[in-house]
Amino acid sequence: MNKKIVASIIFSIVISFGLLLVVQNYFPEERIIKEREFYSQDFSLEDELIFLMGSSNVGQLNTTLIHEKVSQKFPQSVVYNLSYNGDTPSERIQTIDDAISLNPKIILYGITYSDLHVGSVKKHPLPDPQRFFNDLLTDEIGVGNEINPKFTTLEIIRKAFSDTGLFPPRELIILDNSPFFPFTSEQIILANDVELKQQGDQQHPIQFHSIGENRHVSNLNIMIEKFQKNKIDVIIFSVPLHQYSLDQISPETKGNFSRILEQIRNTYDITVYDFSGKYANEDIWANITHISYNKKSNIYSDDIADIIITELEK
Amino acid sequence: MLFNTIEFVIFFVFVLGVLVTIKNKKFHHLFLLVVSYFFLYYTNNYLITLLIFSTLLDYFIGNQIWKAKILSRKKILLALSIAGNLSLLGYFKYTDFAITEFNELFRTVGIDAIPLLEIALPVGISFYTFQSLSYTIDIYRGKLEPSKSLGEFALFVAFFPSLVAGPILRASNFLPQLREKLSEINSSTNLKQILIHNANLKLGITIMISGFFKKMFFADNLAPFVDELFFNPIGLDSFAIILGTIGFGIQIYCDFSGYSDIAIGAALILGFKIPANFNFPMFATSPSDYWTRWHISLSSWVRDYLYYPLVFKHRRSSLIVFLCLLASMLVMGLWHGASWNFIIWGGLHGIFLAIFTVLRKKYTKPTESFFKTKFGKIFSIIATQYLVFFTFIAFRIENFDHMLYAMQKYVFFDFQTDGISSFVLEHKFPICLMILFVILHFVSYNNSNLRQRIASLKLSHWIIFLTIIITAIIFFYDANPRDFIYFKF
Repeated sequence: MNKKIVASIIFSIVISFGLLLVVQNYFPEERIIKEREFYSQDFSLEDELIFLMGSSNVGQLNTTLIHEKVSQKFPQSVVYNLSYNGDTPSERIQTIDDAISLNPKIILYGITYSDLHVGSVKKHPLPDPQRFFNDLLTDEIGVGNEINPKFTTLEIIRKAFSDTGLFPPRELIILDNSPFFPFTSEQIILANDVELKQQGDQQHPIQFHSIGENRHVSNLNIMIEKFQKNKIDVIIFSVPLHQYSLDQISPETKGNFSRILEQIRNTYDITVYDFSGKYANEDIWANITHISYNKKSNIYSDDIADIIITELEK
Repeated sequence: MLFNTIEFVIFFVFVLGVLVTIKNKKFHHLFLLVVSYFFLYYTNNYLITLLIFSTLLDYFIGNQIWKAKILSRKKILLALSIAGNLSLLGYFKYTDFAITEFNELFRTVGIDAIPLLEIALPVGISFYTFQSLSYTIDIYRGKLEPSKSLGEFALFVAFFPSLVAGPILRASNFLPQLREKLSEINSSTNLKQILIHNANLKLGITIMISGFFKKMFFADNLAPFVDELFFNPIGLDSFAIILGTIGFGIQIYCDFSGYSDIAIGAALILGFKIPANFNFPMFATSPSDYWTRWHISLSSWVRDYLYYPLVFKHRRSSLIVFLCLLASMLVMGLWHGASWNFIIWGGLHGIFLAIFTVLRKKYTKPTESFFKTKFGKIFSIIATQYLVFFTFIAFRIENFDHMLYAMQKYVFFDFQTDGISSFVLEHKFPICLMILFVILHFVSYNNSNLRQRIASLKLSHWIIFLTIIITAIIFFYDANPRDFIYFKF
């Protein structure tokens, strides 16, 4: 085998990945910029910060309403929703020290089935090299943490052609108290039953490893330990899902999820709320996994506000 | 193990490294067999036993057919091989589909529904079953001598580059390569080894990288656009439906031909020449021309082992030809999966193919001069692609109401032009990708042996090519890589 050919291939790969690293460094994702801005702010020492964390299911909460309701009773409280699309405990743990450094009083962490999803979990009678390799990559080498070069590249193209009118600014609403979660008009619209049923039929099965084998759960546990060590009150809640979504989740997966919540409750002696089926048949959904950001859907935000008030009253 | 994953890259580098480092006489052949089994075991786990069963069955039956003196005995043995292989395929791939249809049919009569067996589909079973079957059929027909050893035959069935999604190899093509390679090297150096030649390495890498480019740059980036449109196409106008259909056509072509390219490139690096699976199907000038260019290894398999035997005695009857073509294409559709989508897809292709074949018989002379002109050729390409892309709607959209709606909008253009500009503006990226694909595809079509020419470039120029393609792949890499579409067949 010609060493020059092999060297050429390696050279090309190194150059390409080097370029990617440079570009990622100069043009970080929008969210990372926002995170840096948010975590470097000087908050008033008198403020009692309350953070909501989780993925888009938590992002859909009406944080303004929650803040208003909580601050009526506890004027020093300031509620921030730090959720972002596609969050998992394994993603969140990377910035958790920044959040802790702001010394929040309470952290509410919303989780759902898909947040704990980890690729294939099929159990086989024979040794499973695929699982071994995946665990090795994600846990030991840490390449499982998601980066999406495509977003960065498209953003660069968008900026480069911004003067041409080809890429008009996206109609995204970013609220001050929900800095990492942009809203679009679609998230305000309520879906009808036919649409929801179709989505349910097409939902991919969600599966995850049980306790002890699931890296997202172990990362969630590490975060809870850190919060408690820093005397931050933690509340875990499972986010609501529509009935059509719940129908697609196997009893085994539901059982695993319940055991995970139970384990967290017992191990750390913290309050865990299960909202997964609470609004399953209400007419408040943008899609089967997200409650709409709509006036009619404020029931969800009201309930979260009540939880915070109860916790502050303790 | 998916080709577009880090696992495969590590696996392939390891295989090459071992082959280059250890130059033991008997090691290479055995090593390739072991890694091929590992390749399937990685994804299929215990279901690898099906591959081993198929291999043992056809190896022993192949030998017995060769030794049998009486035709009736040969026939019985061949029937055993076909029944054994198709039973496995049928059980694992079609049982739940059959139960579902049975339940649906007898639900009105009040018969209790039979519970589904929820059988896991073994990856690659459709490919290696057909591959293994061709071996016994060729021996029965006297076209092939049985393999000299079980190891040799096992490597043919399990050869990892083409194992899970083709191209479907023929023993008559692969086994001589293996023997020639081994005997040739035996005669001069007495070494039984797989040599990695520089020319093969460079061309193989070029072919592989173009496969990765097709899959990860085009197919994966078009997928969200296609998913968005066909998730629920109701309400979309004709323009959007047509664009979505073209998008899916390009996506599936890049996905599947990308896989084939990676397989062909990997095999070439190891010194094996796998026949091409695609030959610019988007430039096909007729339905029958299309099937000499799309999934060639399957279409030629169906032609040689199903269509020809069916039609041979009655080939003068238009009706028989029509029916045989239809039957062959229905089997081809069903081969893809247990779903009415694929049956409709195959049926539509069968009808187009049959009508074309019958028309060609009658009207070749009056139209010959027109189709030889440039305009005639362009017309025939557009007409063929219009039909081919129409069938992709059946392939892609599972919901029947949605499928019918999309087909209606595709055929009867609604001239709803109001939303076109906003639709284009909203989907700039996928539309640019489609345009880029058409340009590159056209350039490639007009430059025969383009990849061979790229591989022959000076090393410095070749590095630039590699760097551009790899950069494009990783800069447009979506963090959620998708399975190859044909992986599930």
